[in-house]
Amino acid sequence: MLIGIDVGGTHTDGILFSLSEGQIELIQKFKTPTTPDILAGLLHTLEELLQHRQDRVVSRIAISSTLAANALIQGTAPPVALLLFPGPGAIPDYAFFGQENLTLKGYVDHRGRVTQEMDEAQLLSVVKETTELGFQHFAVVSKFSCRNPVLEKRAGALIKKINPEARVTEGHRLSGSLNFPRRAATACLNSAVMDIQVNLASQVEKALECHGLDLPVYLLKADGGTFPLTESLKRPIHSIQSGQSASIMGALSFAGYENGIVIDIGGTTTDLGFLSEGVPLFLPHGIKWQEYQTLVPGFLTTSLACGGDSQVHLNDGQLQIGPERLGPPAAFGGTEPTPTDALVVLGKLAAGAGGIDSAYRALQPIASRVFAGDVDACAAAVLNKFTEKVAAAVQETRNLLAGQPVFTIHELLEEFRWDNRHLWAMGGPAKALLSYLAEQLKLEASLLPHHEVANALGAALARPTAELTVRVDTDRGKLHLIEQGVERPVSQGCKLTGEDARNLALEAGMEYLKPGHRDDLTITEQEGFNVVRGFTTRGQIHQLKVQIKPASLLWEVTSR
Amino acid sequence: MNLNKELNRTKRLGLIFFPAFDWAISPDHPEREERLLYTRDQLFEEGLLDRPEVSEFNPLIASREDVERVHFCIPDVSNRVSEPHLISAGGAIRAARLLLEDKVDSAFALVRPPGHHAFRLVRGARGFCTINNEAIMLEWLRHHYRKGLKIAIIDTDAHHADGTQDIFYHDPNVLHISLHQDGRTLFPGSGFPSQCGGPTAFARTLNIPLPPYTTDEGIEYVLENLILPVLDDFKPDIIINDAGQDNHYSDPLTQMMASAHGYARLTEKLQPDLVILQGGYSIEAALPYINIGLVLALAGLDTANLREPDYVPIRQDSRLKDRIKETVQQVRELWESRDSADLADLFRPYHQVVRGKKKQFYKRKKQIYYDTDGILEEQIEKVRWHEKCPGYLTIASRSRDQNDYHVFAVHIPATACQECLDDARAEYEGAVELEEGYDLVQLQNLPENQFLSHPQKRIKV
Repeated sequence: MLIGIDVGGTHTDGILFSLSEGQIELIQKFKTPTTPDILAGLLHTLEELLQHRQDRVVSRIAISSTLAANALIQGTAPPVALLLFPGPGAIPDYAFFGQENLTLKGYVDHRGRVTQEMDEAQLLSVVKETTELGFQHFAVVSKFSCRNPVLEKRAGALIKKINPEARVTEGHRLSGSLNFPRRAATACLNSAVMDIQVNLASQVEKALECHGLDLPVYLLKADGGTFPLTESLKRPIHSIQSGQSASIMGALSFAGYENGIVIDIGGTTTDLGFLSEGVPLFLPHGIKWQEYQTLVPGFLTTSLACGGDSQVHLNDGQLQIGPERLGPPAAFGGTEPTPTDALVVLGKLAAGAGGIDSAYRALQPIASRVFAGDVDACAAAVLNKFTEKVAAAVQETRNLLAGQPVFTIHELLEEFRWDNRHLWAMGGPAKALLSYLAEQLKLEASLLPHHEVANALGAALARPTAELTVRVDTDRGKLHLIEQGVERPVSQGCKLTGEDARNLALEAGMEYLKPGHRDDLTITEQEGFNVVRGFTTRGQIHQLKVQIKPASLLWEVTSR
Repeated sequence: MNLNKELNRTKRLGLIFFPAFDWAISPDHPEREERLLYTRDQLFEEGLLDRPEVSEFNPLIASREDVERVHFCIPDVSNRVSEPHLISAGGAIRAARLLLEDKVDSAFALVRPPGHHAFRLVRGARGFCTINNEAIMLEWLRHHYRKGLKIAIIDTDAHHADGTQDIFYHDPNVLHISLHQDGRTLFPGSGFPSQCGGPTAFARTLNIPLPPYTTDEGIEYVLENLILPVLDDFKPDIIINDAGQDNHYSDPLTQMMASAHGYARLTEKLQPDLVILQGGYSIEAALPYINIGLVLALAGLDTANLREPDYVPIRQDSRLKDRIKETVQQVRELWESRDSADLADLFRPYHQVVRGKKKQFYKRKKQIYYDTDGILEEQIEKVRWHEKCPGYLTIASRSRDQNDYHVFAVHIPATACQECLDDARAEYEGAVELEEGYDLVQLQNLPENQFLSHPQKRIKV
């Protein structure tokens, strides 16, 4: 039996189900309003589901949590001191994401050579100073640490020596990708949420202990993979914005190899994900969270600030949906008109506590002003507006994909093609809105199984993933496994074919990522270049990313 | 949380970064796959592409017509020009288009291969160039925007931009300024102040040869005391910078001593509208830092922290300073004399009968060596020296190889008057009809957007 919990903006959803022979049997589903502190609602949901397990074995719990995000938004996360080794280039200010930002001597260049050594005395005094100021959370980031993490490692070690209680994030541990400002932002956010993560882990452990349970708990990441709660303590930032990937993983489990759009209509927001031949589209450089550009790997998603409960209002005589949600829909006890109310008025959805009259009354003022009192017409217009916004967001994504910068002649000449065929929908109002969406977007549309809790299901079915960046520079005679902070010598000047490089990466993947099966590993990026001085080739640079790619537990049974 | 320390108002920069990682002139040629690899690394690592001031775009693919508008390709475009060249030119065109559409305040085409050594007539590759990406961009601009556009090209590559000079030598609307390492010490061996344009475009070509080991200081002196004042006088609609990066102290092919910060300052002062990469083969020690500097400067961002990791300030020899001052003075005087000079005295006119009337021309002989392909070409170029309009051009060309095409080419600029247009057409027709004449006759008729090629006896297949 599996448990999946998804914390959304409005609701926390949970699902308890059994998975056998590719079939899902729903045992219990649960929905509760998301609590302001997040944790209460989450634990309550866990409790409810555990109580329904009877005497069956729960083998796995997966959680998509917004605890970290919430703390950051509310401003309750602790301040972080950021230690930077920026060297020359753009002004270091662009990477100032700490509450205290300190620039230190020391520089690593694009080949991973230390061209300026760090000043240990300077580092020591800076660490002492910030500790005295009361900082307990540190981020250490150097330029090109994804080529050689030595400066970050030494500084990180020194901080822990002086202050063993300190929480420290070394940039290279979070990602093997380029982008110093993003690395700094990601590292700061990571350190800021470490305590919260520890708290989450201990609370979940306690809850399980109460039931006498000891089983693996996973957190969902923005890239649709999961990682063990214990591992997440070091890299909590990877679990940020997991909500959107939960819905995509929910769809992925049932989508097959089609191209299409995943739509999750929540209370406050509607989230879109995109599948191309059964694979979700990724953001190659990392996701944007709030105003921060990060190196956290994630899906390409669009979030529209309009959901089922969004306030419908007039702006300059124009119909507008959201961005605010001012309580539940009128038909469910609230006061403001919402798209849900429009659905109720048109008989597409059953009314709740407020009754169908409340829905009518809520839409009346707008109907009088713009639709000559015709509430039905008003309701239809609201739904059209909703689907128009979705269509516009889809078109924007198509444009974005078509205009993506490419760097090889081969890619430039290849025509961009992404024919959407299908729409998979989930979320409370999804069933009622399905036909409208299908018509507007001119796609086949289907409702996901268990669409009301498809997020929680998606989280529960998401397999563990991991990533490793492998860089071989035979001119320098070095091999780096970046995120692991590992450096090994290689024979200087030796030549590798593309195939050699791939095998090397796969071996490293087996060793450090520990997939269940070698077939679970894929090389997602690869490049190889010669290093030439004068007229001789002195060596080569090969860089690859090997991954355990996101996948659904559902496939494991059906495909093998 | 985050500060935005900017010098001036920040500007919108359109960046076309196309490293063509899958293409090389040949496996061990400097113009090779990894030329822009470390530049890519530095650009990505600095996070400049995340900045709101910077937007990234893909290159277009230049069309055959875009190329024919500038070049006479022998025997034709498809035989001489391949995809990578069309993409490099297309990168420049995309930059121009972004500017035209007002999507950006300036645009930078960081593309390869370069183009500034490609002459109007193209028999092969020379100086790593086959077609002139930036001339193609310029003509694209004039064709799609306004034919009488006044454009200034400032070529700061360490090599004399002989190709670009050739293409606009008789064009009064294009001011071509090239500063470069003295031609007596470096390929292509030309670029002296005496080469200052034909009679129809006198002083619209300005060459500033610089002594080897010139530093940022020397280049800045030229900028402040010659280039900026001249631009003030010329008042161009658009300023293009051919930003070759081989002036750098670490460049393997040249002996100049510029730095990344020097380049950035030059760009901040020049404020070009369009920038195109030309040469520069110090791919690890120079290009990454110079290009960061260019992006920062064009986007109006702070360059105070920009320098190479191994940078040590270089003082310029005072004797060099004096020589540079002299050259600047010389060119300055040339420019000041542009309207008052006695052209008939400087350029000996040559007369020819066209359509029954005697017309005034100016003739030059040129010898062009294509170092990459080992072709030696001789050209006789005639420009119609018309008081009323820029006239037209004819080029008679043969190469040392007797089996190669004997060519007659006619170029009619977009601003030519009706009389010149008719005369030029007559010359083209005349060459076509000539019995024991040319193997290939070509016409570039810009006013009527007509590009013709007439094969006579084809020797080669």
